[in-house]
Amino acid sequence: MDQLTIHPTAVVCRGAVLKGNVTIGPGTVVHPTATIVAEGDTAIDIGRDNMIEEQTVLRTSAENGSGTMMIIGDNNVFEIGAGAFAGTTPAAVVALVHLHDSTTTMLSTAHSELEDHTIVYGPRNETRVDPVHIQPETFKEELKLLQESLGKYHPMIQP
Amino acid sequence: MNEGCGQARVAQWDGGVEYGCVEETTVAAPTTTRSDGQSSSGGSGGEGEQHVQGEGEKSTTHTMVHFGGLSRLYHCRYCVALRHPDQLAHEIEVYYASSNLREYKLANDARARRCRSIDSYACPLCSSPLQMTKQASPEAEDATAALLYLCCSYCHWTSLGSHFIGTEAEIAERVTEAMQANTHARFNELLGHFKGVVAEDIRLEQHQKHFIAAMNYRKTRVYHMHPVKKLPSKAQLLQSVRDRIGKRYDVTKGEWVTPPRLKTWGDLSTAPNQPAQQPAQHEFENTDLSSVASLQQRFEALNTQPHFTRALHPVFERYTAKTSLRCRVCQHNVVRPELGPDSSKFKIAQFASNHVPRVVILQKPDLSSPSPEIVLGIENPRDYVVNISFSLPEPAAGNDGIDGQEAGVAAEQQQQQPVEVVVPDKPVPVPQYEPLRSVEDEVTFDDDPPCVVHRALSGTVQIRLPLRVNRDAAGGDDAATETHPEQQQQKEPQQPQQQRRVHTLVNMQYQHHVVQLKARAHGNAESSVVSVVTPLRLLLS
Repeated sequence: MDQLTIHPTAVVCRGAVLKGNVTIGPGTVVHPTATIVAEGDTAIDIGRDNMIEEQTVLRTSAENGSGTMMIIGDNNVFEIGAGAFAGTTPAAVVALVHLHDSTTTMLSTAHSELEDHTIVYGPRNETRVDPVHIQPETFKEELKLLQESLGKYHPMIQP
Repeated sequence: MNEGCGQARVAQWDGGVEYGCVEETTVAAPTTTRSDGQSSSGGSGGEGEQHVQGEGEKSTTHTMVHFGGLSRLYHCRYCVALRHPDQLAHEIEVYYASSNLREYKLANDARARRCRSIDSYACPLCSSPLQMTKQASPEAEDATAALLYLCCSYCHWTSLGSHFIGTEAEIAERVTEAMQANTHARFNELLGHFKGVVAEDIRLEQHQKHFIAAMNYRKTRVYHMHPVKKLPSKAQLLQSVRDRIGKRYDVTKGEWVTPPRLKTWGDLSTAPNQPAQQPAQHEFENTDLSSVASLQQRFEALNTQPHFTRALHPVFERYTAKTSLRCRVCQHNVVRPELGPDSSKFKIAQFASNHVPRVVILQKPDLSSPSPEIVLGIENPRDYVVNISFSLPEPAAGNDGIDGQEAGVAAEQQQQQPVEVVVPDKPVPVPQYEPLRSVEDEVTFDDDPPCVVHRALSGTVQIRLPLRVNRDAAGGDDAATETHPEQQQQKEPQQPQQQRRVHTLVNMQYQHHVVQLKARAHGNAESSVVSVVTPLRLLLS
């Protein structure tokens, strides 16, 4: 029933919790202690070159209907302690819920209900759309470094 | 006294030592000079505890000292006393910016800058420190030619959409301009008015001085008699007076002039702007609240106070202050920080928790047993041996005559105290704390009282204190102690609200500190006992 699909180029650390129908796209980095759970017949589809950091929770539930699907596009960043929950409405709406007291950031792309370049942060989930926002070069360098070298120093979940 | 105070006070022996309670300090009274009869009321339930608190306010001079545990207290080594932060004078030593720890400013320099940094910036949205980031431009091969922009690592605000891009000097100049910009015409109008008022006052004052000097000079001179002119007629006098209405004699010109008309305060106080019309509901529906600046964001940009977040500009970061703490009694410094922001040393000798012995409950008493007892662990944090003596609170019979009636009530309540602790007669020596001592080294004291169970490590003693249960006084649900334990276990979850609380007090004294232990038993005797440790020296000083 559960189908876990991990692209060969994705970097998924052992220690991350993956349950249900989860698809992880190429180049996506999932840090340990991240939680990605798709309950029942729901599904989570994660795109390309996303960064899912520690203590992040992505969860879908079938409370209001089956077939809920959380689609996360490309180049999103879920910083430490971020949370994204879907399934509270029949449609595949992604509701970001802040966890702990840290930054929640999501840069979504066209596949999501959120607009492109949406940033969610702060204890009250302040949401804003910043069209001119670009990811700093340091982040791209970090993602590239993790994709290349994280597998050498940490056990991985093999696809 | 809320019930939450007693929770989570069970200290663990494995290092997790918790002290103190906010509310219990009000109960604490000096044990050597005053009676603690009121605190040993042994009241069952919340009413008795409130009564205790009320008496504590009367009997102690420093009542209602709310300290959130021993970890918040300091130790003054000149007074040899514990000090609450409220008993210390907080003095600002240096200012520094959190994003630049290499520099600090003294008070005068910081005030000249209005307590804002020179070269570090704060985010206009979330007030976090901004970072200078190089703009990625593949055309620019020279790294030094790359433009810089400001980026917030928390909310990811960037200055890319605004004109705060360029070299460091350009960004600093533009931020300075933005912070000094004043777009409020009405404020400028008021400012110009008051400047005119002040200038006119100064000019009149100077003229008056000059006129008085001229008159004094004329008085010293002797003038020749001049032929008397023909006196003006009444009509001419009236005309001259009429001409002078509204005019002022200008000494420098020697004639009556019309003063320049200034705007009166009445002109200015009438608001030129009409209040905004209340927007219709449909205007609200299309409003994106994330684009509207919040009050906090407008306060940060006081000069412009824009309505929308897109008009916000970065500001210079506020300085943070390092303070020193000075004892109000002896005027000595209790805590004196280093001047450099990046050299903050942790001085454990300044904190009270390193001077007061730590007490934890190692074994909960079983009050239903025929000979209940409680095992306490005492840890000495000091590097010398201390003798700790225990005593029960004195009965209230010898209390002040004013509170005689209440004292009698308290004494009666103490007699009915459900649980009493049999304290040892002799003081218990606790060896010094020696971190380098091996675990296998034994510490022997020949004069160990029989209550000492074990001396575990250096600076640690375990003692056993028998408890005396007064089952008649416990009453009510406490009578259930005689029932079968299985019946109690079935009864407890059904009536958790009706559990009655009893507590007992023990005073532990060593050197100049008096520590009060309050063991609180919940209702039926098998549940846990919670200790609250209160350093009474704080209240005595």
